[in-house]
Amino acid sequence: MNKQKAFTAMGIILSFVIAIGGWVLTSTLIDMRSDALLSASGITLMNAPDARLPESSISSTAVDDPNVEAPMLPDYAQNTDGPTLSENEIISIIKNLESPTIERLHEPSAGQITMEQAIESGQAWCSVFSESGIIPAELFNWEDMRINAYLSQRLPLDQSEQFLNPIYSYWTVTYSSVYMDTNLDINAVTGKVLKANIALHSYPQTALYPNAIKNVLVRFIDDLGLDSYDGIKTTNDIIDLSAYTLIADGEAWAVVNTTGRVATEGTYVVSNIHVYLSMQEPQLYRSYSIEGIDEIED
Amino acid sequence: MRLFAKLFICATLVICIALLVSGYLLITFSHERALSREAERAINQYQYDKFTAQAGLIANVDTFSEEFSERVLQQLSADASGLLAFFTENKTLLYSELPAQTDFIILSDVPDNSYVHQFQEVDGGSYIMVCSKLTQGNVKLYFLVATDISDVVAQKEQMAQSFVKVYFITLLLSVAVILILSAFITRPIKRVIRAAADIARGQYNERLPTKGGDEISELSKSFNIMTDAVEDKIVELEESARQKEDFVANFAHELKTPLTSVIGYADMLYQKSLPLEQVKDAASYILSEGLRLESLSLKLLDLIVLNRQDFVLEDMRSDELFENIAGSLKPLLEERKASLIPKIDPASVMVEYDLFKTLMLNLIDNATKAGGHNIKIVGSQNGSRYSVSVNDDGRGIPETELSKITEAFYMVDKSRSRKQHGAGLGLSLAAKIAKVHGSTLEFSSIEGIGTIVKLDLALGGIEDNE
Repeated sequence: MNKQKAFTAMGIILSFVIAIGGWVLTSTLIDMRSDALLSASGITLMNAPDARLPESSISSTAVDDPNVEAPMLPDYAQNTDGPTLSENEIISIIKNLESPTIERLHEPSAGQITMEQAIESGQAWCSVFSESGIIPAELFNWEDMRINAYLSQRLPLDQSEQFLNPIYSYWTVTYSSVYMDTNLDINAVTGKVLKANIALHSYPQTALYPNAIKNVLVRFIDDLGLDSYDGIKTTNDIIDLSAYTLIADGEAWAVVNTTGRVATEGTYVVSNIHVYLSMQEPQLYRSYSIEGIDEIED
Repeated sequence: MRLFAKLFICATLVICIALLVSGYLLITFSHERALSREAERAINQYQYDKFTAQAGLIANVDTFSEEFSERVLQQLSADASGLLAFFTENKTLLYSELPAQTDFIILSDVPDNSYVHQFQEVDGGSYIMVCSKLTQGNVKLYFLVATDISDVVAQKEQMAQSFVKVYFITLLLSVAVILILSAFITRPIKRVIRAAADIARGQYNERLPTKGGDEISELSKSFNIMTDAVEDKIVELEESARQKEDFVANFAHELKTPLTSVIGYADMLYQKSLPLEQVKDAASYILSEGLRLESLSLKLLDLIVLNRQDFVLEDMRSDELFENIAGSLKPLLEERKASLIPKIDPASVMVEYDLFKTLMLNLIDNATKAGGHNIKIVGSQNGSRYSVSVNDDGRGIPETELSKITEAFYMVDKSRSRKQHGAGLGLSLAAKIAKVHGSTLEFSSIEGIGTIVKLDLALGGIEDNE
């Protein structure tokens, strides 16, 4: 009987030894694994869209040899050189930007413009505002601006590991100064502006006229190689002065939308300018008529 | 080691191992996933930082291309998410926000068009460093961003500490539960042990409950079956022992009558000078009784011990049978001053001679012991059977006793029976012999008048020549 009790006691003691020893061993193993993980390294390739040729509407300046220089940017004023996008491609790009997607950054692939080119393209495009009298030229002092840019694509949620056609890539270029923040989405293949947001801070006397807005819209769609489908329309409101038109055989809209206030008779002080393309009809205020502001006729 | 202790130890070990393995897997998997997420986040953020640095270089390309401007690099670091470091194409440090003693082992291999990431401890903190080549115009640099991941490491430590608490609390609770469960599981087994002890003490009616369908229930069922078998076997053994006792008692009892004849005839030969014919008769009776005794012992063994009932009945003439019986009883009858009055209708009857003779001798012996002096034996054909009755004029048997008199060792008047060397076995044996002949003994008696005992035999095939 004593032998039996001794065995039982030994067994119970052994159980507790294993319980505590096991914990010590497990703790040690966890620490060892953690140390191994915290000294690990890895290499990730810089992913980029395949350098495939976009649709045939793209001109011969598009290349797929990464060693060849990026294509020359078109002269903005002439708007005739360089790769362009077809209407179908533009429609696809608009749908991509408006659908549920996830943004993924990448390095430029062959056939896509560099950051420097994107910055220059954006700077050139912004001259339309000073030419139209919307924003004084002196506000566009690039050397005093903080400039930032990144290249990305918007990928479908269920396909976020594989890049799309290079035409869906765009440079997001930001120009910031004391007076304003300009944010442009520039197509990475053509260098054309697809969307622009300008927020004006400290220069309240910027005046805006409906014709000027129309000019901006006309230059916007011309630059993309698009035509107005049914004429340019405007709206005017105490806080909203906009121009919009159907494009691509009536499938999409091009919009220049501003917000601000009426300062003096015939003038409209703007605080935000939003230039964009959309598949949806713009929801703009149309309920008020501003005396002295001309209606825009086609 | 007791079963309870074995259960306890095994269960504790299993729980310990399960908890430890699952804790290890959970913590390491969680930590690995967290680090993997941090690496992915760091690389994504690095891409932003790299673009920002590149834009800054573009903006300052004129000043930067002349010399590596620390001021410019400092400006660039203001927008970054982590701690920056810049190196020349030759991996010379240009600018760093990391501690001076940092070992930039990540620079050892930075392939083109790739981001390299490295987990590293720096000055007591844990960081993930991401590095790649940055080219803008003629400027070629190595650009490194270090992100602090000490929170992730701290989270792992917290998990480990929580795990320890959970582990020991769970273990203690498990020990308590295991103790209770072990006692609960072994309780039915203890019940079986107690039942076995009771049966060993002779309480064969002990049975276990058999509710449920588990192994303990099956053990209980098997135990009950075993107990039934043991009980049956003991009853059988007791019966067998009783039968052996009966045999010995009956045999001793049956010895008396033949021995009385043998002694009587032997005494007669010894005492008197008899004519040769009488000497031969006497010797013949001695011989036949001796042989009958020999045969009877074997048959009694079959009848009483083996419960054999398939004795072979033989055809015999009734008158010859009863004449032989009367001859065997002559000394006994003379001793007891009784006379036998046979009235036997000749017929062929089926009998087992030795056993039937024993039956008749027992009936007649009882009749003489009851005080009968005139004992009639009547034999007559009755339909398809042959009826035999033994009538005496003895003291009779009380009616209340009639149903018991064929029980072994039962005696109506014990004191008188013992005086007459009775054991109470004769009628018990006679009843069994009657059963062998396909009959039963019927008793009718009037106290003070006498007793009639009847039985019937099967008729045989020998035809009466008369």
